[in-house]
Amino acid sequence: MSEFDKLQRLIQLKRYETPGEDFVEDFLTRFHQRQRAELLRQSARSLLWERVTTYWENLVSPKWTAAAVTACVAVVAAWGTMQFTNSGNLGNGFANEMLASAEPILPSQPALAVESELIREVEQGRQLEIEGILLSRHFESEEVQSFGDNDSIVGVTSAAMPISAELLPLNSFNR
Amino acid sequence: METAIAPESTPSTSSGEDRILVERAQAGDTRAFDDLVRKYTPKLYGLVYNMTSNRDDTADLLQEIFAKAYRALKRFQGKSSFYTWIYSISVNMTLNFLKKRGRYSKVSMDDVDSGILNDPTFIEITTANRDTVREVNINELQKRLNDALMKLSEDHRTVVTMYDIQGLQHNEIAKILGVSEGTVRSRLFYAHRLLQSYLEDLVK
Repeated sequence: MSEFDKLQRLIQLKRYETPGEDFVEDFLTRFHQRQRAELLRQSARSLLWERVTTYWENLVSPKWTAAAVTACVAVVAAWGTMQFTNSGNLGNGFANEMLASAEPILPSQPALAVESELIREVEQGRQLEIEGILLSRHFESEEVQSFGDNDSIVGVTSAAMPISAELLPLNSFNR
Repeated sequence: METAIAPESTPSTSSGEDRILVERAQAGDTRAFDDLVRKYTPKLYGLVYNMTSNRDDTADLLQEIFAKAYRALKRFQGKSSFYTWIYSISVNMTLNFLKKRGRYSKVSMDDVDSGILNDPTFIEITTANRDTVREVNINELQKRLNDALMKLSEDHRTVVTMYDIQGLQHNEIAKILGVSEGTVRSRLFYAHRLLQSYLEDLVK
């Protein structure tokens, strides 16, 4: 007998190592227990999922959910577009230069002749922000009160008073 | 539990029986799957035990193997035999387990069947030869064989287990492992050379 054959027969002695006669049936019993436990786990998970999905379906109709989501998307898109447009206007340097070098829009006229626009200086030396506001007839219907003998004092009724203290007389526009 | 004295016969002749059991199990007959478990547990136990050298790990792994086979049974199309299929699952899961376990692990060996006392090979190595008296008891022999196998790499140990211990043929091992027959033969050759050096005193 060769050494290889002896070696092989020696290794084959490991076949005598066995777990015992009852191993197979015990193993099967444990396997059944494991399968039952797994089935219970699976059914508990699927039951939980079913309950969650049913809850959500009852709470919010899918149709209304889709409508709400679409509306949100539209609002966000509109806001984004507005933001983009505003940032474009503020960043327009050419427009700023034009504004700064522009001659007064309104010709110099006596203050009282300005009937339709109020000029407000927002920041001195930077730019003038001209707001067109329709005046009421304050400057047209000016009433002069006399205070007795003192003709230097001219009172003006409140109706003729400028609406806002921020308003500057028109001659300061030509500074 | 069968006493493993003779080389374990491959169930190639019972592939027809396996096919019937598999079809019944796929249709939902749990008793058919139980029959498959009873049939293949001893064989798969030997495979996994000799690869891991730990009977507790073997029992746990076998549970995982059959659980996986049960879950995957519906996808089994019968292109290979059930035997090859479940052997492949067993080898792959055991190799994955061994990789995770690492090199250092506790060895836990099974009891040796008393039938070994009548085995000619055992008698030969435990009786004195012409010049020297040698006493090798069962536990010592078991430990020596186990230590020698554990020194092999997982791939070499696998082919030795399947060929030498379980009696599978080269082509069957090749199908199960998904390699060529040549690869199986070269791994066996190399493994036997190593084992010969580890067990030299017992072989001579």
